[in-house]
Amino acid sequence: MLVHVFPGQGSQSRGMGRELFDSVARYRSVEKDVDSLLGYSLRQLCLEDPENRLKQTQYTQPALYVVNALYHFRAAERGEQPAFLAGHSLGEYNALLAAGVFDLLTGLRLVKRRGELMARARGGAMAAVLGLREGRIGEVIRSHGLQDLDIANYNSPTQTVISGPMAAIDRAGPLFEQAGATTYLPLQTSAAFHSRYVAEASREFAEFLASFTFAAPRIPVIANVTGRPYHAGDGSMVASLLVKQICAPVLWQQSMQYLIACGAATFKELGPGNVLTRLQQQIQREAAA
Amino acid sequence: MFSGQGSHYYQMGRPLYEQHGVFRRHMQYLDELAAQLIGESVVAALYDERRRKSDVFARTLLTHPAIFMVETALARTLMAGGVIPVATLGVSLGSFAAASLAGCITVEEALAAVIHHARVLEACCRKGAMVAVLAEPDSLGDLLDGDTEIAAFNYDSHCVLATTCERLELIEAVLRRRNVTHQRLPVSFAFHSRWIEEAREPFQAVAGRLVLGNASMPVFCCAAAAPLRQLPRGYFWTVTREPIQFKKTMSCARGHGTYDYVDVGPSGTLAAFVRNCLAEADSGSRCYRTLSPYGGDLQSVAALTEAAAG
Repeated sequence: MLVHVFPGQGSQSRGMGRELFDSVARYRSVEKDVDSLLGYSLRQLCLEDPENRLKQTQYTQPALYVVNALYHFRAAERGEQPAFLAGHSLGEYNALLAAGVFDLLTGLRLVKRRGELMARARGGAMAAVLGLREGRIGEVIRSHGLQDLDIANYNSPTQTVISGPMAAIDRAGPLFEQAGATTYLPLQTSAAFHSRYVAEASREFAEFLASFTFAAPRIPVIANVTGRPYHAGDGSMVASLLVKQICAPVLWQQSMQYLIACGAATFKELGPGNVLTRLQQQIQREAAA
Repeated sequence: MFSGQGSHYYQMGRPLYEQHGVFRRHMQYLDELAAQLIGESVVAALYDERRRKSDVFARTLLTHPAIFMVETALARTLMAGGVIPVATLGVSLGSFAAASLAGCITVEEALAAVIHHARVLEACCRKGAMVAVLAEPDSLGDLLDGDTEIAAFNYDSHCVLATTCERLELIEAVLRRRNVTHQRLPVSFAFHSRWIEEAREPFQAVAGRLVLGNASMPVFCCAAAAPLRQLPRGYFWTVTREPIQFKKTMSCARGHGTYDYVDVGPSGTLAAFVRNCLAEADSGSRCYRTLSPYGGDLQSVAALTEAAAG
Protein backbone atom coordinates (compact mmCIF):
# COMPACT_ATOMS: atom_id res chain seq x y z
CA MET A 1 0.00 0.00 0.00
CA LEU A 2 1.43 3.32 -1.17
CA VAL A 3 1.55 6.52 0.89
CA HIS A 4 2.56 9.89 -0.56
CA VAL A 5 4.21 12.22 1.95
CA PHE A 6 5.08 15.88 1.38
CA PRO A 7 7.90 17.70 3.17
CA GLY A 8 7.62 21.01 4.99
CA GLN A 9 9.80 24.01 5.68
CA GLY A 10 13.50 23.17 5.78
CA SER A 11 13.40 21.02 2.65
CA GLN A 12 13.59 24.00 0.27
CA SER A 13 16.79 24.65 -1.67
CA ARG A 14 17.81 26.85 -4.57
CA GLY A 15 17.20 25.00 -7.84
CA MET A 16 14.31 22.94 -6.51
CA GLY A 17 11.86 21.78 -9.14
CA ARG A 18 14.27 22.52 -11.97
CA GLU A 19 13.36 19.46 -14.03
CA LEU A 20 9.63 19.86 -13.35
CA PHE A 21 8.57 23.42 -14.19
CA ASP A 22 8.61 22.77 -17.93
CA SER A 23 7.74 19.10 -18.04
CA VAL A 24 4.56 19.09 -15.93
CA ALA A 25 1.76 19.97 -18.34
CA ARG A 26 -0.73 20.87 -15.63
CA TYR A 27 1.58 23.56 -14.31
CA ARG A 28 2.15 25.34 -17.62
CA SER A 29 -1.55 26.16 -17.82
CA VAL A 30 -1.63 27.88 -14.40
CA GLU A 31 1.85 29.38 -14.09
CA LYS A 32 0.62 32.85 -15.08
CA ASP A 33 -2.10 32.73 -12.43
CA VAL A 34 0.38 31.58 -9.81
CA ASP A 35 2.73 34.46 -10.55
CA SER A 36 -0.01 37.06 -10.63
CA LEU A 37 -1.42 35.80 -7.33
CA LEU A 38 2.01 36.05 -5.70
CA GLY A 39 3.22 39.18 -7.49
CA TYR A 40 6.54 37.66 -8.53
CA SER A 41 7.92 34.83 -10.66
CA LEU A 42 7.78 31.71 -8.55
CA ARG A 43 9.97 29.83 -11.00
CA GLN A 44 12.69 32.46 -10.69
CA LEU A 45 12.44 32.37 -6.90
CA CYS A 46 12.91 28.60 -6.84
CA LEU A 47 15.59 28.32 -9.50
CA GLU A 48 17.67 31.47 -9.06
CA ASP A 49 16.59 33.11 -5.83
CA PRO A 50 18.50 36.28 -6.79
CA GLU A 51 17.54 38.18 -3.63
CA ASN A 52 18.15 35.32 -1.24
CA ARG A 53 14.51 35.13 -0.18
CA LEU A 54 13.91 31.42 -0.29
CA LYS A 55 14.76 31.09 3.40
CA GLN A 56 12.21 33.70 4.44
CA THR A 57 9.03 32.05 5.65
CA GLN A 58 6.67 34.20 3.55
CA TYR A 59 8.56 33.06 0.43
CA THR A 60 9.49 29.55 1.55
CA GLN A 61 5.90 28.45 2.04
CA PRO A 62 4.43 29.31 -1.40
CA ALA A 63 7.59 28.11 -3.14
CA LEU A 64 7.70 24.75 -1.40
CA TYR A 65 3.95 24.29 -1.80
CA VAL A 66 4.17 24.78 -5.56
CA VAL A 67 7.26 22.58 -5.99
CA ASN A 68 5.70 19.81 -3.89
CA ALA A 69 2.62 20.14 -6.10
CA LEU A 70 4.79 19.66 -9.19
CA TYR A 71 6.07 16.39 -7.76
CA HIS A 72 2.46 15.39 -7.07
CA PHE A 73 1.30 16.28 -10.59
CA ARG A 74 4.11 14.25 -12.08
CA ALA A 75 3.28 11.25 -9.89
CA ALA A 76 -0.38 11.57 -10.95
CA GLU A 77 0.64 11.74 -14.63
CA ARG A 78 2.48 8.47 -14.10
CA GLY A 79 -0.66 6.90 -12.70
CA GLU A 80 0.50 6.56 -9.10
CA GLN A 81 -2.45 6.14 -6.75
CA PRO A 82 -1.67 6.51 -3.09
CA ALA A 83 -3.95 4.92 -0.49
CA PHE A 84 -3.11 7.62 2.07
CA LEU A 85 -1.62 11.11 2.05
CA ALA A 86 0.25 13.08 4.68
CA GLY A 87 2.43 16.16 4.78
CA HIS A 88 4.72 17.66 7.38
CA SER A 89 3.42 21.06 8.50
CA LEU A 90 3.27 23.09 5.26
CA GLY A 91 3.33 19.79 3.37
CA GLU A 92 -0.12 19.00 4.76
CA TYR A 93 -1.49 21.56 2.27
CA ASN A 94 -0.06 19.44 -0.53
CA ALA A 95 -1.69 16.35 0.91
CA LEU A 96 -5.04 18.17 1.00
CA LEU A 97 -4.50 19.39 -2.56
CA ALA A 98 -3.80 15.84 -3.71
CA ALA A 99 -6.99 14.67 -1.94
CA GLY A 100 -9.10 17.21 -3.83
CA VAL A 101 -9.97 19.29 -0.76
CA PHE A 102 -9.03 22.45 -2.70
CA ASP A 103 -7.40 23.31 -6.05
CA LEU A 104 -3.85 24.52 -6.63
CA LEU A 105 -4.64 28.24 -6.61
CA THR A 106 -6.94 28.10 -3.60
CA GLY A 107 -4.23 26.24 -1.71
CA LEU A 108 -1.71 28.84 -2.82
CA ARG A 109 -3.85 31.64 -1.39
CA LEU A 110 -4.01 29.80 1.93
CA VAL A 111 -0.31 29.10 2.01
CA LYS A 112 0.61 32.67 1.04
CA ARG A 113 -1.45 34.05 3.90
CA ARG A 114 -0.14 31.42 6.31
CA GLY A 115 3.44 32.26 5.35
CA GLU A 116 2.85 36.00 5.83
CA LEU A 117 1.28 35.52 9.25
CA MET A 118 3.96 33.11 10.43
CA ALA A 119 6.73 35.40 9.12
CA ARG A 120 5.29 38.23 11.17
CA ALA A 121 5.68 36.27 14.41
CA ARG A 122 8.91 37.13 16.20
CA GLY A 123 10.96 36.49 19.27
CA GLY A 124 11.01 32.74 19.45
CA ALA A 125 13.35 30.00 18.33
CA MET A 126 13.40 26.29 17.64
CA ALA A 127 15.87 23.46 18.12
CA ALA A 128 16.09 19.80 17.20
CA VAL A 129 16.97 17.32 19.95
CA LEU A 130 18.52 14.15 18.56
CA GLY A 131 19.20 10.85 20.22
CA LEU A 132 16.89 11.32 23.19
CA ARG A 133 13.52 9.59 23.57
CA GLU A 134 10.55 11.90 23.70
CA GLY A 135 9.65 10.74 27.24
CA ARG A 136 13.10 11.83 28.47
CA ILE A 137 12.64 15.21 26.80
CA GLY A 138 9.51 15.81 28.86
CA GLU A 139 11.43 14.85 32.02
CA VAL A 140 14.24 17.30 31.24
CA ILE A 141 11.70 20.05 30.60
CA ARG A 142 9.98 19.41 33.93
CA SER A 143 13.02 18.86 36.10
CA HIS A 144 14.92 21.94 34.89
CA GLY A 145 12.11 24.46 34.93
CA LEU A 146 11.97 24.67 31.14
CA GLN A 147 8.19 24.90 31.00
CA ASP A 148 8.51 27.81 28.58
CA LEU A 149 9.35 25.23 25.94
CA ASP A 150 6.75 23.42 23.82
CA ILE A 151 7.32 20.29 21.80
CA ALA A 152 6.83 21.39 18.18
CA ASN A 153 7.46 18.20 16.16
CA TYR A 154 7.43 14.56 17.15
CA ASN A 155 9.49 13.55 14.14
CA SER A 156 10.85 10.09 14.97
CA PRO A 157 11.66 8.03 18.06
CA THR A 158 14.96 9.89 18.38
CA GLN A 159 14.23 13.24 16.77
CA THR A 160 12.08 15.85 18.47
CA VAL A 161 11.87 19.56 17.75
CA ILE A 162 11.18 22.07 20.50
CA SER A 163 9.94 25.66 20.32
CA GLY A 164 10.15 28.51 22.79
CA PRO A 165 11.59 31.89 23.69
CA MET A 166 15.18 32.43 22.51
CA ALA A 167 16.56 32.47 26.06
CA ALA A 168 14.96 29.15 26.97
CA ILE A 169 16.16 27.53 23.72
CA ASP A 170 19.71 28.73 24.52
CA ARG A 171 19.60 27.53 28.10
CA ALA A 172 18.15 24.12 27.21
CA GLY A 173 20.99 22.96 24.94
CA PRO A 174 23.54 21.88 27.57
CA LEU A 175 20.77 20.40 29.73
CA PHE A 176 19.56 18.10 26.96
CA GLU A 177 23.12 17.12 26.14
CA GLN A 178 23.79 16.26 29.80
CA ALA A 179 20.65 14.12 29.74
CA GLY A 180 22.07 12.10 26.86
CA ALA A 181 21.07 13.88 23.64
CA THR A 182 23.66 13.19 20.95
CA THR A 183 23.01 16.49 19.20
CA TYR A 184 21.22 19.72 20.04
CA LEU A 185 20.69 21.70 16.89
CA PRO A 186 19.20 25.23 16.93
CA LEU A 187 17.16 25.70 13.72
CA GLN A 188 17.18 28.65 11.35
CA THR A 189 13.62 29.83 11.85
CA SER A 190 12.24 33.30 12.47
CA ALA A 191 9.86 32.25 15.24
CA ALA A 192 8.74 29.41 17.54
CA PHE A 193 6.40 27.63 15.14
CA HIS A 194 3.97 24.95 16.34
CA SER A 195 3.85 26.38 19.85
CA ARG A 196 1.79 28.70 22.03
CA TYR A 197 4.03 31.57 20.85
CA VAL A 198 2.39 31.70 17.43
CA ALA A 199 -1.18 31.66 18.75
CA GLU A 200 -1.74 35.15 17.35
CA ALA A 201 -0.89 34.01 13.81
CA SER A 202 -3.21 31.07 14.30
CA ARG A 203 -6.06 33.36 15.39
CA GLU A 204 -5.63 35.68 12.40
CA PHE A 205 -5.47 32.69 10.08
CA ALA A 206 -8.82 31.53 11.46
CA GLU A 207 -10.38 34.82 10.38
CA PHE A 208 -8.88 34.45 6.93
CA LEU A 209 -10.14 30.87 6.55
CA ALA A 210 -13.68 31.79 7.54
CA SER A 211 -14.57 32.71 3.95
CA PHE A 212 -13.42 29.38 2.44
CA THR A 213 -15.34 26.16 2.06
CA PHE A 214 -13.59 22.85 1.55
CA ALA A 215 -14.51 19.62 -0.17
CA ALA A 216 -14.35 16.26 1.61
CA PRO A 217 -11.04 14.47 1.00
CA ARG A 218 -11.25 11.83 -1.73
CA ILE A 219 -8.24 10.02 -0.30
CA PRO A 220 -7.59 9.83 3.46
CA VAL A 221 -5.25 12.61 4.65
CA ILE A 222 -3.56 12.25 8.02
CA ALA A 223 -3.78 15.49 10.04
CA ASN A 224 -0.64 16.68 11.86
CA VAL A 225 -2.75 17.80 14.81
CA THR A 226 -4.41 14.45 15.51
CA GLY A 227 -2.20 11.87 13.77
CA ARG A 228 -5.45 10.48 12.36
CA PRO A 229 -7.34 11.06 9.08
CA TYR A 230 -9.42 14.13 8.38
CA HIS A 231 -13.15 13.34 8.49
CA ALA A 232 -14.12 11.20 5.55
CA GLY A 233 -17.61 12.47 4.88
CA ASP A 234 -17.23 16.23 4.71
CA GLY A 235 -14.75 19.11 4.60
CA SER A 236 -16.15 20.97 7.59
CA MET A 237 -13.28 19.99 9.88
CA VAL A 238 -10.56 21.17 7.50
CA ALA A 239 -10.45 24.83 8.54
CA SER A 240 -10.29 24.18 12.28
CA LEU A 241 -7.49 21.62 11.92
CA LEU A 242 -5.46 23.97 9.70
CA VAL A 243 -5.87 26.75 12.26
CA LYS A 244 -4.79 24.50 15.13
CA GLN A 245 -1.90 23.12 13.13
CA ILE A 246 0.00 26.44 13.33
CA CYS A 247 0.30 26.37 17.13
CA ALA A 248 0.01 22.62 17.85
CA PRO A 249 2.77 20.04 17.67
CA VAL A 250 3.21 18.05 14.45
CA LEU A 251 2.47 14.42 15.38
CA TRP A 252 4.56 13.03 12.54
CA GLN A 253 5.87 9.91 14.23
CA GLN A 254 2.37 9.06 15.48
CA SER A 255 0.97 9.63 11.98
CA MET A 256 3.48 7.26 10.40
CA GLN A 257 2.90 4.64 13.09
CA TYR A 258 -0.82 4.91 12.43
CA LEU A 259 -0.24 4.30 8.72
CA ILE A 260 1.98 1.31 9.42
CA ALA A 261 -0.80 -0.11 11.60
CA CYS A 262 -3.19 0.43 8.68
CA GLY A 263 -0.93 -1.74 6.53
CA ALA A 264 1.07 0.94 4.71
CA ALA A 265 4.36 -0.46 3.48
CA THR A 266 5.63 1.95 0.81
CA PHE A 267 6.21 5.62 1.59
CA LYS A 268 7.14 7.95 -1.22
CA GLU A 269 8.33 11.48 -0.49
CA LEU A 270 7.05 13.97 -3.06
CA GLY A 271 9.14 17.13 -2.85
CA PRO A 272 12.72 18.33 -2.74
CA GLY A 273 15.18 16.57 -0.45
CA ASN A 274 14.74 13.40 1.58
CA VAL A 275 14.04 14.56 5.15
CA LEU A 276 10.87 12.52 5.50
CA THR A 277 12.39 9.44 3.91
CA ARG A 278 15.11 9.42 6.55
CA LEU A 279 12.60 9.93 9.37
CA GLN A 280 10.59 7.07 7.93
CA GLN A 281 13.58 4.76 8.07
CA GLN A 282 14.01 5.52 11.77
CA ILE A 283 10.30 5.02 12.49
CA GLN A 284 10.11 1.75 10.57
CA ARG A 285 13.22 0.38 12.23
CA GLU A 286 11.49 1.05 15.53
CA ALA A 287 8.23 -0.56 14.39
CA ALA A 288 10.08 -3.69 13.28
CA ALA A 289 12.04 -3.95 16.54
CA MET B 1 -26.08 -2.83 15.86
CA PHE B 2 -23.58 -4.18 13.37
CA SER B 3 -23.93 -7.75 12.15
CA GLY B 4 -21.18 -9.97 10.84
CA GLN B 5 -20.42 -12.62 8.22
CA GLY B 6 -23.42 -14.41 6.82
CA SER B 7 -25.69 -11.35 6.82
CA HIS B 8 -24.47 -10.21 3.41
CA TYR B 9 -25.74 -10.70 -0.14
CA TYR B 10 -25.07 -9.25 -3.59
CA GLN B 11 -26.69 -5.83 -4.18
CA MET B 12 -27.11 -5.13 -0.44
CA GLY B 13 -27.75 -1.41 0.05
CA ARG B 14 -28.02 -0.76 -3.68
CA PRO B 15 -31.10 1.51 -3.57
CA LEU B 16 -29.28 3.72 -1.07
CA TYR B 17 -26.12 3.70 -3.18
CA GLU B 18 -28.10 4.85 -6.19
CA GLN B 19 -30.33 7.38 -4.50
CA HIS B 20 -28.74 8.60 -1.30
CA GLY B 21 -25.76 10.95 -1.67
CA VAL B 22 -24.38 10.54 1.85
CA PHE B 23 -24.43 6.76 1.62
CA ARG B 24 -22.83 6.80 -1.81
CA ARG B 25 -20.06 9.22 -0.79
CA HIS B 26 -19.10 7.07 2.19
CA MET B 27 -19.15 3.93 0.05
CA GLN B 28 -16.98 5.55 -2.61
CA TYR B 29 -14.51 6.89 -0.09
CA LEU B 30 -14.11 3.49 1.56
CA ASP B 31 -14.02 1.73 -1.79
CA GLU B 32 -11.06 3.81 -2.98
CA LEU B 33 -9.16 2.68 0.08
CA ALA B 34 -10.32 -0.92 -0.17
CA ALA B 35 -9.31 -1.03 -3.83
CA GLN B 36 -5.82 0.09 -2.83
CA LEU B 37 -5.62 -2.71 -0.31
CA ILE B 38 -7.05 -5.60 -2.30
CA GLY B 39 -6.45 -4.49 -5.89
CA GLU B 40 -10.08 -4.31 -6.98
CA SER B 41 -13.22 -2.36 -6.30
CA VAL B 42 -15.55 -3.86 -3.68
CA VAL B 43 -18.41 -1.71 -4.94
CA ALA B 44 -17.96 -3.04 -8.50
CA ALA B 45 -18.10 -6.62 -7.24
CA LEU B 46 -20.98 -5.99 -4.84
CA TYR B 47 -23.16 -4.14 -7.35
CA ASP B 48 -22.17 -6.23 -10.38
CA GLU B 49 -25.20 -6.13 -12.71
CA ARG B 50 -24.85 -9.82 -13.50
CA ARG B 51 -25.28 -10.88 -9.89
CA ARG B 52 -28.61 -11.56 -8.26
CA LYS B 53 -29.28 -11.28 -4.56
CA SER B 54 -29.69 -15.03 -4.36
CA ASP B 55 -26.28 -15.79 -5.92
CA VAL B 56 -23.69 -17.00 -3.46
CA PHE B 57 -21.36 -14.13 -2.52
CA ALA B 58 -18.59 -16.18 -1.02
CA ARG B 59 -15.15 -14.67 -1.37
CA THR B 60 -14.16 -13.45 2.10
CA LEU B 61 -11.66 -10.91 0.76
CA LEU B 62 -14.64 -9.11 -0.83
CA THR B 63 -17.49 -9.93 1.56
CA HIS B 64 -15.56 -8.84 4.66
CA PRO B 65 -14.98 -5.26 3.44
CA ALA B 66 -18.39 -5.17 1.72
CA ILE B 67 -20.21 -5.84 5.00
CA PHE B 68 -18.05 -3.32 6.85
CA MET B 69 -18.55 -0.66 4.18
CA VAL B 70 -22.32 -1.01 3.87
CA GLU B 71 -22.85 -0.98 7.62
CA THR B 72 -20.52 1.98 8.16
CA ALA B 73 -22.02 4.00 5.31
CA LEU B 74 -25.51 3.25 6.58
CA ALA B 75 -24.66 4.26 10.15
CA ARG B 76 -23.17 7.52 8.86
CA THR B 77 -26.20 8.11 6.67
CA LEU B 78 -28.54 7.70 9.61
CA MET B 79 -26.35 9.95 11.76
CA ALA B 80 -26.40 12.64 9.08
CA GLY B 81 -30.20 12.36 9.27
CA GLY B 82 -30.20 12.91 13.03
CA VAL B 83 -30.26 9.30 14.23
CA ILE B 84 -27.42 9.63 16.72
CA PRO B 85 -26.34 6.52 18.64
CA VAL B 86 -25.74 6.57 22.39
CA ALA B 87 -24.19 3.09 22.33
CA THR B 88 -23.03 0.60 19.72
CA LEU B 89 -23.23 -3.16 19.51
CA GLY B 90 -21.04 -5.30 17.27
CA VAL B 91 -21.50 -8.96 16.46
CA SER B 92 -18.39 -10.75 15.27
CA LEU B 93 -17.08 -8.93 12.18
CA GLY B 94 -19.54 -6.12 12.97
CA SER B 95 -17.35 -5.29 15.97
CA PHE B 96 -14.87 -3.51 13.69
CA ALA B 97 -17.50 -1.03 12.50
CA ALA B 98 -18.95 -0.70 16.01
CA ALA B 99 -15.51 0.13 17.42
CA SER B 100 -14.81 2.72 14.76
CA LEU B 101 -18.21 4.34 15.24
CA ALA B 102 -17.38 4.70 18.94
CA GLY B 103 -14.04 6.30 18.06
CA CYS B 104 -11.76 3.54 19.43
CA ILE B 105 -10.09 3.23 16.02
CA THR B 106 -10.57 5.22 12.83
CA VAL B 107 -12.78 3.99 10.04
CA GLU B 108 -9.72 3.74 7.78
CA GLU B 109 -7.76 1.49 10.13
CA ALA B 110 -10.89 -0.56 10.84
CA LEU B 111 -11.28 -1.21 7.12
CA ALA B 112 -7.61 -2.13 6.81
CA ALA B 113 -7.96 -4.51 9.77
CA VAL B 114 -11.06 -6.12 8.25
CA ILE B 115 -9.21 -6.73 4.99
CA HIS B 116 -6.21 -8.08 6.83
CA HIS B 117 -8.51 -10.44 8.73
CA ALA B 118 -9.94 -11.73 5.44
CA ARG B 119 -6.46 -12.16 3.99
CA VAL B 120 -5.09 -14.21 6.85
CA LEU B 121 -8.20 -16.38 6.92
CA GLU B 122 -7.82 -17.11 3.24
CA ALA B 123 -4.11 -17.75 3.60
CA CYS B 124 -4.02 -19.81 6.81
CA CYS B 125 -7.32 -21.55 7.45
CA ARG B 126 -9.02 -24.43 5.80
CA LYS B 127 -12.54 -23.77 4.61
CA GLY B 128 -15.35 -24.45 7.05
CA ALA B 129 -19.09 -24.11 7.38
CA MET B 130 -21.73 -22.68 9.68
CA VAL B 131 -25.36 -23.67 10.19
CA ALA B 132 -28.04 -21.61 11.95
CA VAL B 133 -30.30 -23.88 13.98
CA LEU B 134 -33.71 -23.20 15.55
CA ALA B 135 -33.20 -25.27 18.66
CA GLU B 136 -32.08 -24.99 22.26
CA PRO B 137 -28.30 -25.39 22.42
CA ASP B 138 -28.79 -28.05 25.11
CA SER B 139 -30.69 -30.23 22.68
CA LEU B 140 -27.70 -30.34 20.33
CA GLY B 141 -25.21 -31.81 22.79
CA ASP B 142 -24.82 -35.07 20.93
CA LEU B 143 -23.75 -33.20 17.76
CA LEU B 144 -20.88 -31.45 19.50
CA ASP B 145 -18.13 -33.95 18.94
CA GLY B 146 -14.64 -32.95 17.94
CA ASP B 147 -15.86 -31.72 14.56
CA THR B 148 -18.61 -29.32 15.57
CA GLU B 149 -18.82 -26.40 18.01
CA ILE B 150 -21.44 -23.87 19.02
CA ALA B 151 -20.46 -20.55 17.46
CA ALA B 152 -23.36 -18.36 18.55
CA PHE B 153 -26.05 -18.26 21.20
CA ASN B 154 -28.50 -15.84 19.60
CA TYR B 155 -31.70 -16.28 21.60
CA ASP B 156 -33.36 -19.07 23.51
CA SER B 157 -34.06 -21.41 20.64
CA HIS B 158 -31.61 -20.07 18.07
CA CYS B 159 -27.95 -20.90 17.83
CA VAL B 160 -25.27 -21.36 15.20
CA LEU B 161 -23.00 -24.35 14.71
CA ALA B 162 -19.48 -24.17 13.28
CA THR B 163 -18.16 -27.27 11.62
CA THR B 164 -15.84 -28.66 8.99
CA CYS B 165 -16.85 -28.98 5.34
CA GLU B 166 -16.56 -32.77 5.66
CA ARG B 167 -18.94 -32.91 8.61
CA LEU B 168 -21.52 -30.46 7.27
CA GLU B 169 -23.67 -32.92 5.38
CA LEU B 170 -23.94 -35.28 8.30
CA ILE B 171 -24.99 -32.45 10.61
CA GLU B 172 -27.63 -31.31 8.14
CA ALA B 173 -28.89 -34.85 7.69
CA VAL B 174 -29.31 -35.31 11.45
CA LEU B 175 -31.13 -31.99 11.79
CA ARG B 176 -33.45 -32.92 8.91
CA ARG B 177 -34.24 -36.27 10.47
CA ARG B 178 -35.11 -34.56 13.74
CA ASN B 179 -37.27 -32.01 11.94
CA VAL B 180 -35.19 -29.14 13.29
CA THR B 181 -35.33 -25.99 11.17
CA HIS B 182 -31.86 -24.99 10.08
CA GLN B 183 -30.06 -23.00 7.42
CA ARG B 184 -26.56 -23.10 6.07
CA LEU B 185 -24.91 -19.64 6.32
CA PRO B 186 -23.21 -18.20 3.24
CA VAL B 187 -19.74 -18.15 4.82
CA SER B 188 -16.45 -19.72 3.73
CA PHE B 189 -14.94 -20.30 7.16
CA ALA B 190 -16.05 -21.73 10.47
CA PHE B 191 -15.82 -18.50 12.45
CA HIS B 192 -15.88 -18.63 16.24
CA SER B 193 -14.31 -22.05 16.30
CA ARG B 194 -10.97 -23.80 16.54
CA TRP B 195 -10.84 -24.03 12.73
CA ILE B 196 -9.74 -20.43 12.36
CA GLU B 197 -7.10 -20.67 15.10
CA GLU B 198 -4.27 -20.75 12.53
CA ALA B 199 -5.07 -17.12 11.66
CA ARG B 200 -4.57 -15.85 15.20
CA GLU B 201 -0.87 -15.06 15.12
CA PRO B 202 -0.66 -13.50 11.67
CA PHE B 203 -3.76 -11.44 12.41
CA GLN B 204 -2.44 -10.24 15.75
CA ALA B 205 0.96 -9.40 14.28
CA VAL B 206 -0.72 -6.50 12.48
CA ALA B 207 -3.89 -5.83 14.49
CA GLY B 208 -1.89 -5.88 17.72
CA ARG B 209 -0.29 -2.60 16.63
CA LEU B 210 -3.60 -0.73 16.57
CA VAL B 211 -3.76 1.97 19.21
CA LEU B 212 -7.15 1.48 20.85
CA GLY B 213 -8.56 4.79 22.08
CA ASN B 214 -11.27 5.23 24.68
CA ALA B 215 -14.79 4.72 23.39
CA SER B 216 -16.96 7.82 23.19
CA MET B 217 -19.99 5.63 23.99
CA PRO B 218 -20.45 2.12 25.41
CA VAL B 219 -19.53 -0.63 22.96
CA PHE B 220 -21.59 -3.73 23.68
CA CYS B 221 -19.33 -6.66 22.99
CA CYS B 222 -20.92 -9.99 22.12
CA ALA B 223 -17.86 -12.00 23.18
CA ALA B 224 -17.71 -10.49 26.68
CA ALA B 225 -21.48 -9.86 26.89
CA ALA B 226 -20.65 -6.50 28.45
CA PRO B 227 -20.53 -2.80 27.59
CA LEU B 228 -16.92 -1.68 27.13
CA ARG B 229 -15.39 1.77 27.34
CA GLN B 230 -11.88 0.57 26.65
CA LEU B 231 -11.25 -2.29 24.28
CA PRO B 232 -8.96 -5.00 25.69
CA ARG B 233 -5.83 -6.17 23.90
CA GLY B 234 -6.62 -8.70 21.23
CA TYR B 235 -10.21 -7.47 21.04
CA PHE B 236 -10.66 -7.92 17.30
CA TRP B 237 -9.39 -11.47 17.41
CA THR B 238 -11.51 -12.39 20.41
CA VAL B 239 -14.75 -11.15 18.85
CA THR B 240 -14.32 -13.35 15.79
CA ARG B 241 -12.95 -16.40 17.61
CA GLU B 242 -14.98 -16.71 20.83
CA PRO B 243 -18.66 -17.71 20.63
CA ILE B 244 -21.22 -14.96 20.06
CA GLN B 245 -23.15 -14.44 23.28
CA PHE B 246 -25.98 -12.42 21.81
CA LYS B 247 -28.60 -13.49 24.31
CA LYS B 248 -26.40 -12.66 27.30
CA THR B 249 -25.37 -9.37 25.72
CA MET B 250 -29.00 -8.43 25.28
CA SER B 251 -29.88 -9.19 28.86
CA CYS B 252 -26.92 -7.05 29.88
CA ALA B 253 -28.08 -4.20 27.60
CA ARG B 254 -31.60 -4.52 28.95
CA GLY B 255 -30.28 -4.10 32.46
CA HIS B 256 -28.37 -1.06 31.28
CA GLY B 257 -31.30 0.93 30.00
CA THR B 258 -34.10 1.39 27.55
CA TYR B 259 -32.87 1.65 23.99
CA ASP B 260 -34.11 2.01 20.47
CA TYR B 261 -32.16 -0.77 18.78
CA VAL B 262 -31.31 -0.05 15.14
CA ASP B 263 -29.95 -2.90 13.04
CA VAL B 264 -27.64 -1.46 10.37
CA GLY B 265 -26.71 -4.90 9.06
CA PRO B 266 -27.73 -5.95 5.55
CA SER B 267 -30.34 -8.55 6.50
CA GLY B 268 -32.13 -7.32 9.58
CA THR B 269 -31.27 -10.54 11.42
CA LEU B 270 -30.11 -8.77 14.58
CA ALA B 271 -33.42 -6.90 14.78
CA ALA B 272 -35.17 -10.25 14.69
CA PHE B 273 -32.91 -11.61 17.46
CA VAL B 274 -33.55 -8.54 19.59
CA ARG B 275 -37.30 -8.90 19.19
CA ASN B 276 -37.04 -12.44 20.46
CA CYS B 277 -34.83 -11.44 23.36
CA LEU B 278 -37.07 -8.53 24.34
CA ALA B 279 -40.30 -10.47 23.99
CA GLU B 280 -40.42 -11.88 27.50
CA ALA B 281 -39.88 -8.65 29.46
CA ASP B 282 -40.55 -5.58 27.42
CA SER B 283 -39.07 -2.56 29.06
CA GLY B 284 -40.11 0.08 26.54
CA SER B 285 -37.19 -0.61 24.24
CA ARG B 286 -37.95 -0.63 20.54
CA CYS B 287 -36.26 -2.29 17.65
CA TYR B 288 -35.82 -1.37 13.96
CA ARG B 289 -34.32 -3.01 10.94
CA THR B 290 -33.09 -0.87 8.04
CA LEU B 291 -31.81 -3.01 5.16
CA SER B 292 -33.46 -6.17 3.95
CA PRO B 293 -32.96 -8.48 1.00
CA TYR B 294 -36.70 -8.07 0.41
CA GLY B 295 -36.46 -4.31 -0.21
CA GLY B 296 -37.84 -1.20 1.45
CA ASP B 297 -34.39 0.13 2.31
CA LEU B 298 -35.06 3.75 1.35
CA GLN B 299 -38.38 3.78 3.17
CA SER B 300 -36.83 2.33 6.33
CA VAL B 301 -34.08 4.94 6.37
CA ALA B 302 -36.56 7.74 5.70
CA ALA B 303 -38.86 6.53 8.48
CA LEU B 304 -35.99 6.43 10.98
CA THR B 305 -34.69 9.90 10.13
CA GLU B 306 -38.22 11.34 10.20
CA ALA B 307 -38.81 9.77 13.59
CA ALA B 308 -35.53 11.27 14.83
CA ALA B 309 -36.51 14.71 13.51
CA GLY B 310 -39.99 14.50 15.01
